[in-house]
Amino acid sequence: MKTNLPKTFLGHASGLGLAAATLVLAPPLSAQSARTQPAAVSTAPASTAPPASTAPASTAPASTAPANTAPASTAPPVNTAPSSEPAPAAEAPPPIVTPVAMDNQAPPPGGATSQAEWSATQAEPAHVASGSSTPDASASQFFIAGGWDMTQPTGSSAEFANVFGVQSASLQLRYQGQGRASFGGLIAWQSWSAKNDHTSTEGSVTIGGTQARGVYINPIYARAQFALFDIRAASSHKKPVPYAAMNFGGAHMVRRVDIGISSLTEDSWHWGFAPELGVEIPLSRLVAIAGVRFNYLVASGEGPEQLYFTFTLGVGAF
Amino acid sequence: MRRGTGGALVVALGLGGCGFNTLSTSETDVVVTIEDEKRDYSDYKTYALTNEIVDLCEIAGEDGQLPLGGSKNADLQDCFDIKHTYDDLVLDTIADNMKALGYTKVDADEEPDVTLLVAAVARDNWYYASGYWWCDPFYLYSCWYPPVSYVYNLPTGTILINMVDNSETANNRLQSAWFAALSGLYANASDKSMATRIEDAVNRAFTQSPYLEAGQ
Repeated sequence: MKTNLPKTFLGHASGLGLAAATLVLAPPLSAQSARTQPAAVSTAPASTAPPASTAPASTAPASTAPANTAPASTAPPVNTAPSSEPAPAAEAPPPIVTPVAMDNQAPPPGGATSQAEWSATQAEPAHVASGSSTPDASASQFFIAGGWDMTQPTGSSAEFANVFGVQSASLQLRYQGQGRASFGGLIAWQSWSAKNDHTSTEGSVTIGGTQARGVYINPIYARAQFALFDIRAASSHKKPVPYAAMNFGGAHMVRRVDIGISSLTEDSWHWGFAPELGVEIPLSRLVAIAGVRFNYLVASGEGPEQLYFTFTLGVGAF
Repeated sequence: MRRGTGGALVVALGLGGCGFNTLSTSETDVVVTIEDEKRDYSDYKTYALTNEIVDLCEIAGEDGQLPLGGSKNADLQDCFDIKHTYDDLVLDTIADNMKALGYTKVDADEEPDVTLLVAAVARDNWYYASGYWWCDPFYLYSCWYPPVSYVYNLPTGTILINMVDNSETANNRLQSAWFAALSGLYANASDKSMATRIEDAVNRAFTQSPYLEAGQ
C-alpha cells in the first residue's frame, strides 16, 4: 500500500536597534574610572614606601610593612648596600595615609552634566560592591543552556499535521566573551504528531481512515545573539534582559504516516534559518530563558519546506 | 556549570522528540476504494446483491494461491477461518447505502445493471519496518539515531466489495466497475465493537465514493 504524503519568511530581527539603545543605557566609562581611581590610591599610596636610606628593600621583612601599605616587593630597591642589622620594625616610619575623598563626596566627573546624573551613576557601583548577593559571573566565557521546546507548525507544515507539540527540547552553547553579543550553536530535537481522520485521493484510488502523522526535526544551527545588556554583569541580576538571535544551519527531518497497519516514512536534509526573540533572566550563575523562534526550513529535493514556531522555556548556566 | 543542571538538561533532551501518536486497533481500519474514472455511474439504476460472503481462503486456486491478484503468492497457511457472524450486518449495510444512493435492488435473474459481490479474507500479514524511530530510556542517544528495523506480524481481516457491470461481463470474465477493500486488524478493539467497526467501514466506503450515485 502506498500513501502519497501531502507536499506542499519572515523578516529577521535586527540587533542594531538594541545595540543603539544599549549605548545610551550603559554606564559612562568616565564615571566608572572616577569611581575606581580613588580606591586604588587609598590602598597603595606612593608615600608609604620606606625611605631608601633607613630601610633597604632588600632586607626589610615584608611582615613589618603595615597591612594597608604596599608590599615590600613593590618598593623600589634604590639602595642595595648590605646592612649587618636589619632595621627594626619599630623604627619603621609610620605609614602616611593621604586623606581620600569618599566616592559619594567626589565632585561630578567631567562626563556628568548634573548632580542628578552623577547620583545615577553612583547607584551601580553599590551593586557591584555587594558581591555577596550577586556571584561574579563577569569572567565567564561560555554559556550552556537547555530548553523545553513547544512547537506550533504553520503553513504547509500545519497542512500535514496541525498540532501544538510539547515534546521537544533544545541545547545551546555560546561564547559570551563579547559582552552583549554572543556566538555559538544550537541543536534541538523537535517533533509533533497528530492523529486525525483523513480521506486522501490519488488518481482513482481513495484511502480513508485514521492516520497518525508525525514530524521529527533535528536542527543544527550556528547562532548569533545580541542582548540589551550583558547578562554576566551584576547589574543585570534578576532583571529580564531582552535579546534577539539569528540561527542558521541545516536540519534533518523525518516525516511519518501510519495508516492501517502500514507505516510510511521519508527523511530529508534541509537548509534553514530561525530568527528568535526572547528574554534571559540572570539568577546568580543560572539564567532563566523564555523565547520564541520562527523556523523556516527551505524545501529540498527530498522533502517539502517546513515552517513552525518554537516556544522555549529553558535554563542556562555559566 | 553545576552538576545538577547538567543532569536536568540531559533528562530534558532525552524526553524531547520521542513521542508519536500510535493507532489503536479500531483506528487501523482503513477503507480503500477504486473508481473507474472513465465510467459514467449515472447509467446504473438497479443492482443485485450476493446473499453470502465468500471466504477467499476456501476457494483458493489449484496452485494454492488466493484468487485475488493482490494476494498473489500468498501462503494459505497464513489464513484464519472466517466467522460469518457479521455477514448479515455487512450485506444489510451495503443495501442501505445503495438505497441511499438511489439504486433499486432486484434479483439476480432480473438483469440488474450491476451486481455487488462480497468476499472476505483473514490472514497473517508479515511486515518489515525500516528506519523506525526507537526511543530507549536507557540509551537516550538512540532517540535520534540509529533507527531500528524489525519484522512483525499483524493478523488482518479484509472485506472486499466488488461492483460488477453485468453488461460488460462475458465468458465468465467479470468486469469490475467499482471496488472497495475494508481492511483492519483481526483483533477485537477495546473502544469499538466489531459490529460497529464493520458498519462504519462499509458506510465509509460509500461515503467516500459519491460518484456512485445512480442516475434518476
